[in-house]
Amino acid sequence: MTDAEARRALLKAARAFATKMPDVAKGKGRAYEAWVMLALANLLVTKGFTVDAVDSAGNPVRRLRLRKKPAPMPSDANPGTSPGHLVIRRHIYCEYELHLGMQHQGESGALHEIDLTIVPAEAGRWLRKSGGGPWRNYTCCAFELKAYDEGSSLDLGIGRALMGVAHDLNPGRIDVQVSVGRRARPLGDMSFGHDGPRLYLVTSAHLYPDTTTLLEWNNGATFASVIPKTNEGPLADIVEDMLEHCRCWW
Amino acid sequence: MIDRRVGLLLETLRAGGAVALVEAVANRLSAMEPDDRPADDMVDRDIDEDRDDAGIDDGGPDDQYPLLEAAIALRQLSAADAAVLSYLRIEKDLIEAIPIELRNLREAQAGRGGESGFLVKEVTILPHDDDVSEYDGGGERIVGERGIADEEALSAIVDLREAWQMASERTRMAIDDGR
Repeated sequence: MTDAEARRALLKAARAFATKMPDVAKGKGRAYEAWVMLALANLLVTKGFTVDAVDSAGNPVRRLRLRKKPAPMPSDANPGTSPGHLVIRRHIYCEYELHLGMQHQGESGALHEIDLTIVPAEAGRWLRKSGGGPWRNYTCCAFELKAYDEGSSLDLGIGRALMGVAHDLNPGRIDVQVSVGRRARPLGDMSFGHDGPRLYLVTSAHLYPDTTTLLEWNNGATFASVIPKTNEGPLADIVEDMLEHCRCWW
Repeated sequence: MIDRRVGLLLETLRAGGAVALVEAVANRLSAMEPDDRPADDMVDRDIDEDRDDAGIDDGGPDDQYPLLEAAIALRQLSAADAAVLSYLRIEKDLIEAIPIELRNLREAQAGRGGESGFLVKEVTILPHDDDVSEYDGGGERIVGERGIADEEALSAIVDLREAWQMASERTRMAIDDGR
């Protein structure tokens, strides 16, 4: 085979690839996001949760439809054609929804896409019943998921962008720590406040240490080199972190 | 600067529509540290051993330039190899992993008694979702279903990997030959 023939064969194979997997060829595939969501759901089952896949009206589905592009919460009026989501439940007061690519509206009014979010189910049902729209309610966990070449390192800008989104969703974050004492005798420290969603940056690539430092300081966590079949271990760490840190009633 | 021979491969991928692969390679190349550039005294002279050019003199700086250029090209080609193969492997693993996760969810919840359990056998991506009003239910692309669509996708990935490896090997030989 000559050089030219090898390049022609490459061109033909690239065309076939782009035809069969057009989104993947453009770098807009959703398979990584879908895999992370399903893998986390599996791990939550091992923690005593039940997981259901439902349409926008709450009916169980055999085919789970996911958003390709960022989109608001759908109405419950067209369950046959709207995106679905997962519902996780541990007990009657612990019911949450997992959504891929849902639009959130920040305090500024700007719309943001979050790759994977976990939100309270009751508020989700109410929004769908009201006709849908961007999510403005409380968010337990927000995931930024990046399926990049595993040998590359994600730019710090991705961590900064996630921080910016989190700030717009929850600009009034308050953390108060109070030292309590009686007649100069310390009795201990108390902390309370209102916090935003727990932030997760999960990627198949590497991360720069500054990205991890930035997110950990801002109620977040990073997980690098998370790859199907090759390195799925960090997913269990994510679930442990969610159960420990998310301000949801697990 | 990307070596012209490596650039030719990337241009071929781009012409075929595999834009994401080109971007993955470009990211790797742009992230290469200055240390990745071989020092003048560390140029791999083996690459020039088979040349017919008996008049070449390794002693002068001008004569070392083709060697340095070739060494840089080979490093760029290696980085491109790694990026392309990594990208394709992850996509292949995702196609295989999603049905496994679905099956595990179904099986782990098969004994939920009166409740419905987890029923999903496939995951689809909606084509039009900029606006909920645009959902029409048609033209959905399937991911995660081990059916014809996945087999074809896996086959396309394998074919592209093999074609890349062949073209890359030809390019490596061209660099070695000083072409």
